[in-house]
Amino acid sequence: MSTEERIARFLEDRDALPDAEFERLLEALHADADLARDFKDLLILDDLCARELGPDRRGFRAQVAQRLRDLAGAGRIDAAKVVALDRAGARSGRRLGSALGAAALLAVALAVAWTLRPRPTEALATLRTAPGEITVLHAGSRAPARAGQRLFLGNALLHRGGEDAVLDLADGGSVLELKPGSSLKLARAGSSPAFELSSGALEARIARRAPGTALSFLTPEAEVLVVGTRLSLEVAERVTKVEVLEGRVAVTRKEDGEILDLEAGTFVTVEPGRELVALQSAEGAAPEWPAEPDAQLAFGPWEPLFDGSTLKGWTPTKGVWSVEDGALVALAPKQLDQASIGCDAEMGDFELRFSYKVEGSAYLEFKQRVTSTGGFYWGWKERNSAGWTPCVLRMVGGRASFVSDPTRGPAVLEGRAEPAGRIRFYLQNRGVDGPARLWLKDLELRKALP
Amino acid sequence: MASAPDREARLAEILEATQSHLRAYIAGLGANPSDVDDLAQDVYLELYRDMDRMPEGLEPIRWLKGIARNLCLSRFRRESRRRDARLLELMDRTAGRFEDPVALEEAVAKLRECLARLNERQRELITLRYAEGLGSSALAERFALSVEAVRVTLFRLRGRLKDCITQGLGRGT
Repeated sequence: MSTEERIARFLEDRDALPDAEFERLLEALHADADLARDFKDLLILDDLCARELGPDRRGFRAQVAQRLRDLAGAGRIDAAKVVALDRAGARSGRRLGSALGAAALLAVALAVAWTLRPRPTEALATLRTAPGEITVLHAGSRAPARAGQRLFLGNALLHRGGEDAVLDLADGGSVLELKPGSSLKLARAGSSPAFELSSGALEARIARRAPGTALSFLTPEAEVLVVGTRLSLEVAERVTKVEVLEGRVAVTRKEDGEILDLEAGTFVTVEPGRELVALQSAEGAAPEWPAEPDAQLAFGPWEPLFDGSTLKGWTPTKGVWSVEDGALVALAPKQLDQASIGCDAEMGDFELRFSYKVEGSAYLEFKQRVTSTGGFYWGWKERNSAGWTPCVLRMVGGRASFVSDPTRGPAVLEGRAEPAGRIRFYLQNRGVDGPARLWLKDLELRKALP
Repeated sequence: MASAPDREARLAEILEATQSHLRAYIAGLGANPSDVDDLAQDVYLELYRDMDRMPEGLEPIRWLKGIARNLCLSRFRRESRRRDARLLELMDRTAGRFEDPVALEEAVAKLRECLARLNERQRELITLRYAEGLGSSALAERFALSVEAVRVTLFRLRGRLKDCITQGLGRGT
């Protein structure tokens, strides 16, 4: 085993490193000061990574305060701690009896705990049900969750599978339903409870709260301030979706602090660089059209949608667009840069065909019938296309289908379906090491005949 | 002996100013990563019990480091963890690059940038390792790699992050 292998094994599972190998590692570290320094840096880096990424390694202050509270708890002060206080008293010339020491320690510890308090003594929530693979993390430890378990500030729930977990909040009337695949941490924003959803989804019914005690939901992209409402929250890669079913909430985008008031029946998608606008929820706005396209539907002739040499008929709304060799070309130079372009004409029912290719690491959206209240889209990540990919998309009635690649299924309806809207293409650079480009060519459209 | 309010305020102030540095110090002594927080908490509780012993004018972190070193050593000896005790003695004599508070704060900030520079798969591996605490076996299964390959990959990723941070700090070797 090489020294590198010994270090690698030590860092991953130090107890699994046999004694003989540990001795060799120690010898190597003794013999080479630079190696020892690198090793020490790696030990510290390991802790920094755990603190930066680990959901259960934050809230250190809270943990110290809790330990002090534990110390001060009835009957939980052990002799050693009382003696420690006695010693302090003796040094200052005021030796205290152990009983008095215990009382003094209790008072001081409670006071310190109060000063440091990041959470109330009571639980923030109780797990009503804990079906499936749910783990509770706290202070570096993890344990399977159980129904009836009380949850405190700093606890995190990892819900890996099964049914929804139901949490009753301590206010007596609010309920959270945590979906499988979610990670939720109980935190605090100012003096009010906060729930950090780092991935997954939840639905919440929040009882009306007193002024100044609004409850918060935190995601990597947004903070949602709730006074009393029913809402759903979804967190995917760099995207948070907030939907309000009853009442209203205030959504703050962390990226720039922009705030949006969201009312019942609306939702917002919070994503870096994306416009923060409320859209109508699909619920209650069902399309008036049949779900499946009419097989007998007839189309007119194919007509060019792009002249191959200018941007005439197209309006870029984000990023850099140009025309090269008969193709529309979008450039997003660095990570998270975006490019978006829309066709000026509004279309109702149609078929669209074109070819595209991607360079770099990209997130793409092909959008149909986009209006101010919603639209249909497919979104996916793609990296360095092997060549041109031909596409045929159909927008008929209330359904957009990917004719040339049925595996993609129908487009997602975001917001409300309208009878006509614009075609849009969207690119976001999801790479870390270079630009992303999207080429579109041979764009042609045929309209459905009445 | 300081009054209770003074002690409260002093402890809160010291904890706020030193917690990152202290945890890094304990980690750098070779304490098991899962014990670092617990040991650091013990250090603050010890400080609280014996705050009056801390000499006037002494930087609190120096006092805390002394407590931390002794606590770690006594725990390792009590639990017959001779290997940990020997490693501690060596690491205690070794100067790391992230030892002073300024370098440490810079390293934390730089770490975020360096994590963002990893490719998607590397970032996923590191995130699963630290955010979800998955061990080499679980990661190997998830990434269809051998356990050894996961260990080596993680080792190289850590090395890459370390280099990225130290270069950023102008302290590369």
